[in-house]
Amino acid sequence: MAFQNSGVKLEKFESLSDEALHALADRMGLGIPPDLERVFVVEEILVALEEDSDERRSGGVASLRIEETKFSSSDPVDMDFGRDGPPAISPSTCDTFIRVLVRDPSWAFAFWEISDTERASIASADGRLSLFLRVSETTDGEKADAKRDFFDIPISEDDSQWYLNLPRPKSRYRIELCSRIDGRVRMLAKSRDLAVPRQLLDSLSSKLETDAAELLRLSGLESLDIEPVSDDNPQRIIKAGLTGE
Amino acid sequence: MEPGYLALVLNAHLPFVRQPEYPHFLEEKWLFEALSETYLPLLRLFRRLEAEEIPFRLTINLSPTLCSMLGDAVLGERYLGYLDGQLALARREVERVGSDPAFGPLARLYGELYLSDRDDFAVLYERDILAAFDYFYKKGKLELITSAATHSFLPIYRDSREAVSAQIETALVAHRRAFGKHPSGFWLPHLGWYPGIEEVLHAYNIQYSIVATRGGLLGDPIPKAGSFAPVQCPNGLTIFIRDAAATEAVWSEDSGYPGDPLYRDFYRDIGFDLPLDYVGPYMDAGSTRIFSGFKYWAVTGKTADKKPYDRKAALARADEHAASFLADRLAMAKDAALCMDRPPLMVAPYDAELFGHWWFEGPAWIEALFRRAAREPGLKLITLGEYCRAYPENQVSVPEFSSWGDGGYAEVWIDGANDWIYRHAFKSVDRMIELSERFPDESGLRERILNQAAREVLLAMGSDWALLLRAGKSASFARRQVEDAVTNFNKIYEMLSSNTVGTEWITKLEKRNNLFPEINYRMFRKKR
Repeated sequence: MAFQNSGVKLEKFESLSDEALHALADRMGLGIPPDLERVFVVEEILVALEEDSDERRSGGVASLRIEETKFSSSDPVDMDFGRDGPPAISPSTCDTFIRVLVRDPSWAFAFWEISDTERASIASADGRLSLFLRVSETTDGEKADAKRDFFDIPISEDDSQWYLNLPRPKSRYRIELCSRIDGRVRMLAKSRDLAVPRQLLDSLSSKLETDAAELLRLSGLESLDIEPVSDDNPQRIIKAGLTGE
Repeated sequence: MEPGYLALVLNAHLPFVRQPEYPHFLEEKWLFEALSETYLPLLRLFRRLEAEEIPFRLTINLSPTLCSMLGDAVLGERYLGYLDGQLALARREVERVGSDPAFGPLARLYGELYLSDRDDFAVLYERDILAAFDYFYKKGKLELITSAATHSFLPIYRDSREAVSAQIETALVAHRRAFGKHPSGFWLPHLGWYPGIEEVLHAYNIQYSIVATRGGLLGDPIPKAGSFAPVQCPNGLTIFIRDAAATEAVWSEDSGYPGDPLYRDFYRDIGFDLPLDYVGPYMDAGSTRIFSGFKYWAVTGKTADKKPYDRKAALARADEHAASFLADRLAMAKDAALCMDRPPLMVAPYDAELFGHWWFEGPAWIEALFRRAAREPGLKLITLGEYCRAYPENQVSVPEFSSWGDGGYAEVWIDGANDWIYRHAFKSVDRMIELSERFPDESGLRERILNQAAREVLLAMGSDWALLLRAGKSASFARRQVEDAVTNFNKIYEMLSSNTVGTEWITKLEKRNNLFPEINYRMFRKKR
């Protein structure tokens, strides 16, 4: 998670309730103990924001800042503290569904709802739900019942969204929202197939004709950091270039 | 044969921020500032070039929401009020610093700028800026293109063909209404491309679009001319690829031209530097400090100890930068030409508001670029449509999912600060599809209601709200825009479901969110 926060004022955090502060820290993934004193929670948030801001400055986010300048009349710092209040738009619980949005070659954002009726039908005797997300790799034109590689991510009954790490760029995945009742798996909803984008050029590019290789070089191939690398770490995070790409 | 082509492309866009129920609304100033510092100065430079018979070519996206606001009578009236306020502040500033040899000329410069804006807007163009752009469009100097209706980041909605189609169809109708022509090109907001969108664009008879360098080079198969020639999707849609070096020369905050020490510093502004009781009466922002537009200092360097802005020296530097930009592009073209069987093309797309609003000397740089390109042998300026006509055949390749945002994909728009939007936006989209299927042939009041529902869905899909939420700028405003659009839509949905109609409420909403008067809710019907 990233925030643009240069100049965030201490007072803005001090005006928040304890619950709102902890919720903000949770959203930032800080893992702060629930009984931590308020002053330390604020300090942790400020440090994390400053680190994030430094990272964004050094990470070449000039494009984002420039795009923002057209909105410059306003208060330069106006974070969305309202998020910690009750949601102004209540999510519907009429349907059971899952939807997944591809963010980049490594991550996708999933969100879902489970209808009240569905929840009642999958609850165990003590009223608890056992839920998980099943991430399956698929191929084009595959039959729905084809055997596939998959892994499961346990989720709690209060969760309604998740950032999924996708193991392989340039692949296709399907995400299923599942429950386990008495050892049996029941699929509640499934996403459409996701096409995960390429992160790097195929090794094929090394076989390009000289002219094509030179034109790719002149096009800025090196600064984009999309050439194949010798190590086999597919989760390498792309460095953001100064061009905003 | 030309040594090479340069296609300058500007994306002029602002989100729909019209708030007629308030006498003054802070976010409406985004429009007033862009008019004063970007759009009107650009039109002035076009007029000067035309008067001197200096040829120029520019491709410009005027986004549908921007066109809605530029054609709006309420905002036009308010803009004149804004200019009167700026002129009053300029007079006060001349009184305050008029005798100062460094700051006096600058205070007068701002007075002249706002006076020119007022004369142009009220007298010359009679408040019709779109007609002013259209004049140069018709003369072939500008090629006007359009973009998604509410600047939606389309890769997010790739699973909903109806939502993507609605964004495109509404934009095309709005463009035809404003300019009487079907646009050849389509600006993908934030250059957000995904494989498959070519089918939708082609279905609407779009001839070309532009992608980020990353997406183009990662295309399948790899484009053999790199970014120096467009590619063509199998269905014939031409895709231009952003030139990385031309982008960085202008766009980079650290090494780009706008960071030159001689240029005007954007951040030092009397709205923050002078006592609130002095500037406050001109800001209409209560006790909030905001940018006033009156800035007296040069970038100088990474120091708080800024030097006074020297306009003459800055304009000379803009001319030097224009010369340098052309020389660098020409050198690149010569290198690339050695490997190509046609003149290389460099496509340089930027946000229009960068020029003048953020980079004060930007319009002068563009003007110098056109003047130099006209008198010096070398690169030929071209619009993207002209290039398509000159080179209709290109390598077949489909770009990869990409954008010009931070990281190169969708990181900016799917982030912990804004991801909550999509649950609601998709729900609205799904329900809108359902409504258009349930009521395919309505007329009268019910059709008006359905059309307003479609407007609210499109507003909820705007990418600017996600950008602002992530940036922490006007975030509470952005949040409210999404909440209001979704809440309005939900209310309409409930009204239609229960067969009760709040005529007064819907009429009020139509007057408030009055964009896209020719919208047709049926565009949300399922594609069969």
